[in-house]
Amino acid sequence: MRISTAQTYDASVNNLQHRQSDLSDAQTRLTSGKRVMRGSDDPTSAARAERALAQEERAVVAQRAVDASRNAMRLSESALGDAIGVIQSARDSLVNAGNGAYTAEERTTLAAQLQQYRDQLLKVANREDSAGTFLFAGQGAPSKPFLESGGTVIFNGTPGEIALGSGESLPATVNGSTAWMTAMTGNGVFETAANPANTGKGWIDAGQIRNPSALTGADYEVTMSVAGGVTRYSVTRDGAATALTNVAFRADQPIEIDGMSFTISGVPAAGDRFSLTPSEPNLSVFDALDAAIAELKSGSNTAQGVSNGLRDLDSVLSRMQGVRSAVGDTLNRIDNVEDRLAASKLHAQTDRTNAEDLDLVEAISKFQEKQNGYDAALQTYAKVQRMTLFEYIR
Amino acid sequence: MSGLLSLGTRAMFASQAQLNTTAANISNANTPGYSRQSVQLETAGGQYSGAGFFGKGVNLTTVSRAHSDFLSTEVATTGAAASSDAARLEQLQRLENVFKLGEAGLGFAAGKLLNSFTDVASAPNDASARQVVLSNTEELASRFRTVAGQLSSLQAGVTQDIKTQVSAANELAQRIADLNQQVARVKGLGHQPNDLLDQREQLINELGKYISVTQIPADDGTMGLFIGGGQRLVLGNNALQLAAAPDAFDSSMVTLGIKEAGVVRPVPENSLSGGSIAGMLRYQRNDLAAAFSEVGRMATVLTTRINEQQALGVDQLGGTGGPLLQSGSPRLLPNANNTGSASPALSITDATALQASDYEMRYDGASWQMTRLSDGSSWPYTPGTERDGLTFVPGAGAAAGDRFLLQPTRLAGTDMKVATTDPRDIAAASPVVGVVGTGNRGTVGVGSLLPKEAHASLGAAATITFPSATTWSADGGLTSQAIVPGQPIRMNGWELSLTGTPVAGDTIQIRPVVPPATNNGNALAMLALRDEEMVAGATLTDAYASAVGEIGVRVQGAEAAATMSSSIAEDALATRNNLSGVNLDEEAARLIQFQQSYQAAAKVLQIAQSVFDTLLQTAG
Repeated sequence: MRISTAQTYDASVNNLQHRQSDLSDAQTRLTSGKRVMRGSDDPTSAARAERALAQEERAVVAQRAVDASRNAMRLSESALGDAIGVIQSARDSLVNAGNGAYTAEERTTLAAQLQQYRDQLLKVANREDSAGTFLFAGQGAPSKPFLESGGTVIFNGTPGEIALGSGESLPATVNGSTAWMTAMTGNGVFETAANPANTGKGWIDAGQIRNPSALTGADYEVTMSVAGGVTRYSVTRDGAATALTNVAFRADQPIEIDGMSFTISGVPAAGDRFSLTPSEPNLSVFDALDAAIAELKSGSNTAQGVSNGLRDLDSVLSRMQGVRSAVGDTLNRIDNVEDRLAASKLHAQTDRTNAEDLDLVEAISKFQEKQNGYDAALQTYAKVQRMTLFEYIR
Repeated sequence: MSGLLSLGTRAMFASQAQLNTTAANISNANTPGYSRQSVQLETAGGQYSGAGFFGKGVNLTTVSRAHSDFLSTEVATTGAAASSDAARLEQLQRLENVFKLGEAGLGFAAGKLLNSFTDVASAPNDASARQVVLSNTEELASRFRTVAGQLSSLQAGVTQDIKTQVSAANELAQRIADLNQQVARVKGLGHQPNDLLDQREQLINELGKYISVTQIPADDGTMGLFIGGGQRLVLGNNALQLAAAPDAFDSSMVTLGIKEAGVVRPVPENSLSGGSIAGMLRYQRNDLAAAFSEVGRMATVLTTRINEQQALGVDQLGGTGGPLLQSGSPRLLPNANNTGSASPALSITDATALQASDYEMRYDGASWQMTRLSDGSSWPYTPGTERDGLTFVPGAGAAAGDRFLLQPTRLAGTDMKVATTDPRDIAAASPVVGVVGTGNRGTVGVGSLLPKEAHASLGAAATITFPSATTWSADGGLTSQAIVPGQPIRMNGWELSLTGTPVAGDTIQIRPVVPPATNNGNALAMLALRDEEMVAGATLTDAYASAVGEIGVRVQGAEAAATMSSSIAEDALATRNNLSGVNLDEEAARLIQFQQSYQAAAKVLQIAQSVFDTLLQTAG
């Protein structure tokens, strides 16, 4: 077959150019470390890498949300710790107030002390984080979540918790309503109270549950009567007489009815009444302290006041401890979420690398191959172009 | 005696001619399109004598070229196809660079914008987190603008390239017509004008690189050239002019026409089988338009959904969230040849139903026909109805035959911008919050309460009660609705996801927020847009990933086509060149051959002379 000389040159130059561009392409890939640099390099892998990148970015921002939650939970945890400390100090003061040897002045001093504790607690309740978010605002409050209003503290926020955009439900705030405002009154099941109009020196304790299955949830009233120097009492259930009617009263002896047990101490007067009502979830830390302070200042029935105060403080304390341990649980959960996020991020990164990164070993060996090919092409070109008849016929 | 002299002279003359031809071959070894020439010889016949016929020597008949019509046509056709594919590939590779991968891509910026709502959700009051959202919005808008701008400049580049190539093609057509004339003029001489034919063939090949032509030879030696479905381009010594005319709808696009007697007649694009002009027209019509639509659709859908979600939320000033982004409006272009006076209106009524396509509306005097240009499907259209998310209101005055081009998303990216600069305008809060009833005895809680769609009672208070552990009721006639695990409670435009299990009698209060709202419900709803299948059934990330993949597939396809057609063209050229081209070794050998025959002929003359001398001496 004839060969056109110009054609052989053109073809050789074309081939050399192809090889050179292949070589340069291989080199670009080697230096960038990417197998897929454009969609056309491998459309499927390019799309996979895009998705993996989105997933990775999502894990990164979710991690920021988790950090925010952790920060909020740590701050709340420490605020709750502070509050618990203050409430315990207040409880100690109140225990001291129960000392019968104390004078009215001493009790007033204690009341002032309690007032201090109350003010401290209000500050803790309105604590905010560095971004100005109130720790105990629940689902948000337009201003401070706990406000003084008409001598009591009201919750100005929206009860509940704010969840974060972490992919898993993590709270950004603590439900201030739960922590501060809605402890159970009484002992958690029923609340004992002395009628304010009582004239005697009797006081009722917080009571205990003897038999949970016997509880009725009704209102009870204990009415004292004195006949012939003997004090007797009658218990009514929702106004109806019960089996405990005109029973002889003995101070400090537990009275049991419908699974409940309570003790009336001291010397109640005739007509004095004590009530047992089901507990309500509406005991606020501040109300508990306010009641105790008012009781100490009035000095009328200190024993009952102290008894009620201690009962209420125990209730709010236990609620607060409950919330604190829930926050602690959340902090533990955050660690787990973080582990999962890290795994998801790693997975996304691996996926992306697999999709678009270069297998160096393969790439280097291919580069070598291309280099050899180019080298061979150059050498043959140099040899062949010398072979012409004109070389021999001069 | 004179016989010997004349024999020698003829032989010398023949050898000289051969040497000349060989020299010409050597000279033109590298001339493109040159066909190797050779001298055709024949014996000069015999002279009869008593002793039989004596040869009278050699005659030159003509100089012919090594040529095959079939191979030449093959080179022209395959070259045109290769040039079309190469032009499209080159343009597509530029287009692909617009769709960047990874951190530089549109998808990444869109994801980043939605992701930045995470930090707003973490700290709804934090002005800096809100500012980051605005910055990311600006970044996204500017990326969309850049991409749309790059697409526009690609379009401008195509228009410019086609114009340049059309004028180059016109120049070639004119020169071919001139050569036709020269060829026709020497036709009567009885010999092939080899060099003129080579030149013409070469010019036709070059023309074919721009636009493929059909060659039909005429009896007078001229070559007629036809394009498309048989439109005359060159006939005899007359060449018509091609014209790059603006599209009848969109003047930024270009169409091909042919100018005859001052009138430009359009050349249907799909009738062009090859040439770079055909490749670029195809790229402009299919690939570039698809890219524009795809980018525009993403811009439109994202803008619409973000703004819709904004409108459901409450901003930091206590008002309803205003738009965050603004994208370009849909464009409607009348055909330049319309005779009616209608000025129709086009609006996008459902962004999530948009297809990545332009549409053509045609009026036949009674009804409208809608054609989706991306796939060519067509259907009758009732004015004012929604189709593919679009609503077209033609108004009065349309005449039969009027056509309109709908470009719903062409300008969406080009005109994309941020609609607010105040970080407080970001509606991070939900208008309602869910509060668990205080007397609840079950563990039911509010997992999330997100505003999802516009509703007259979206911000209204409501109470959800749980008559049993598996049902819920609410005011407004919703009683004993089943609680389906994994599905939120939908009411008043919001979606409430529950945690825990209710006990009969438990309640959840839906309360309107007190301004300034500090919850993060709407920021969380924005985050949920990441997983919403908003772009024709795909999430935004997936939509961009598949757009990148689709462009990649197009480039791969074009690459394969270009590789194949260029190798076919190279083969055709090699075959033709190997037949017609010059081989220098061959010419060298011929040179020696002809030199020797020249020397031999000279020897004949010398002998003739010495014979004559001998005769003279004898006579003298």
